[in-house]
Amino acid sequence: MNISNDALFLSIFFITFYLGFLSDRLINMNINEQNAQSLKRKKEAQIQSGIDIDDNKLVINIKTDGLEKKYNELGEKALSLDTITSSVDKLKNLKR
Amino acid sequence: MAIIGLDVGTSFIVSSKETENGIEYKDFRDAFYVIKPSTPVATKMIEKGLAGKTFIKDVDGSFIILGKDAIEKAIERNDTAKRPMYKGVVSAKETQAKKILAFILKEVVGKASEPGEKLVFCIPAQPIDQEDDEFDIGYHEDVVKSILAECGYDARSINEAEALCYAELENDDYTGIGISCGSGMTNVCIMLNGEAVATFATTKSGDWIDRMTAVATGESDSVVQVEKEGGGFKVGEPNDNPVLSALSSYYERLIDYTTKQLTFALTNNKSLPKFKDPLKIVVAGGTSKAEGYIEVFTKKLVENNFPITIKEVVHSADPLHAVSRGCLIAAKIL
Repeated sequence: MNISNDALFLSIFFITFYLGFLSDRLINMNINEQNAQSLKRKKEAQIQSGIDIDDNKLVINIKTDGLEKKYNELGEKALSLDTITSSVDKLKNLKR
Repeated sequence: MAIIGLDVGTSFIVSSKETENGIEYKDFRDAFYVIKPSTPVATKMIEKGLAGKTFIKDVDGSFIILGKDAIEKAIERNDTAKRPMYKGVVSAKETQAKKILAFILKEVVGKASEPGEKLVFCIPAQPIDQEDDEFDIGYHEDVVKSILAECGYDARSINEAEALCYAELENDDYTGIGISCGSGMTNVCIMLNGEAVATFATTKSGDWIDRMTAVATGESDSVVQVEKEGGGFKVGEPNDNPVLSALSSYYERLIDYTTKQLTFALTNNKSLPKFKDPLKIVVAGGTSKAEGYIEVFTKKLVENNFPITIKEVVHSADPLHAVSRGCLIAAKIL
């Protein structure tokens, strides 16, 4: 008797757990679908209106005034006995 | 009016200009290290210790050591030097990045000889292996342009690998592939008769090798960087020195990754034209200077089934200056 009661209790527990799990998934799917539809609507509205906000980061005030230089020259110089004239001419011809 | 080419790289900033005797390059190591003294006595001691070094003093009393001196000082203190740029763009992680980058750029290129002097600088392409809001090429470009405009330049940007193609593909009618292996990124451009038909980048390059080697050996990134630049190892070959052995191994993995990404990006790419002849690939950038790099790169291209027929893979004769030279050429035609 006790064994069948335990089995019945376990069965009800697992069925309830499974139903709860299923309903939770269904609710989440519904929310995700609603979110996706909302995003889609927003995108469609944006495309229809053609209005978009420029959210590029602004370059503001890069100040170097307070920096006090403590050296003579920055960087190393190197001279190459090379010329770019023929490269420039060839590219200019190609791009005509 | 003088014209300037400028390679704004993660590890080096290289300017170039034409002179009567040839092309004059100016290189500067893109690194800094900050020391903030805690007492007036410490301030005096530090300043004395920095005699002969390249440094600047900030309004808050801190000392900002620049260039290769920054790396030396960081190693001396068992630390890692900082960079104003990270993975090819202005570093969002470093609060002082923009200020230091502005200072270095202004010092390297100087004031324009007359207002509106033309300058072309390079920017990276959008990476194919990273989706990160912090990775903002547009913002990086605006920052550099704004700094250069303040110096009086009419600054324009071109893609880094496109600049490399301009510098290296003259004998191939400007048709081929340019691969710029910098510190922060690997940039690729496929060019047809002087037109860039595809550009892209990956975010793993020299700094990735340094980081991974540092983790594997317990050394700082700066120590690894110095060892790497000192040479003494061949890509893909074992080495008795643990740092050099790790470098060799990570180099091989990086090349394998890069060639796989190249293959993936170009396989079934419908925007690519049909090339009638096999293409030349030219490789440049500081990371490509390691011994054996080109051999392993060529081998991996074949192993990973690169989809375009290759004529040859060549190393630029001047891998550190090639991009800047390309920017200078672009400045003449833009």
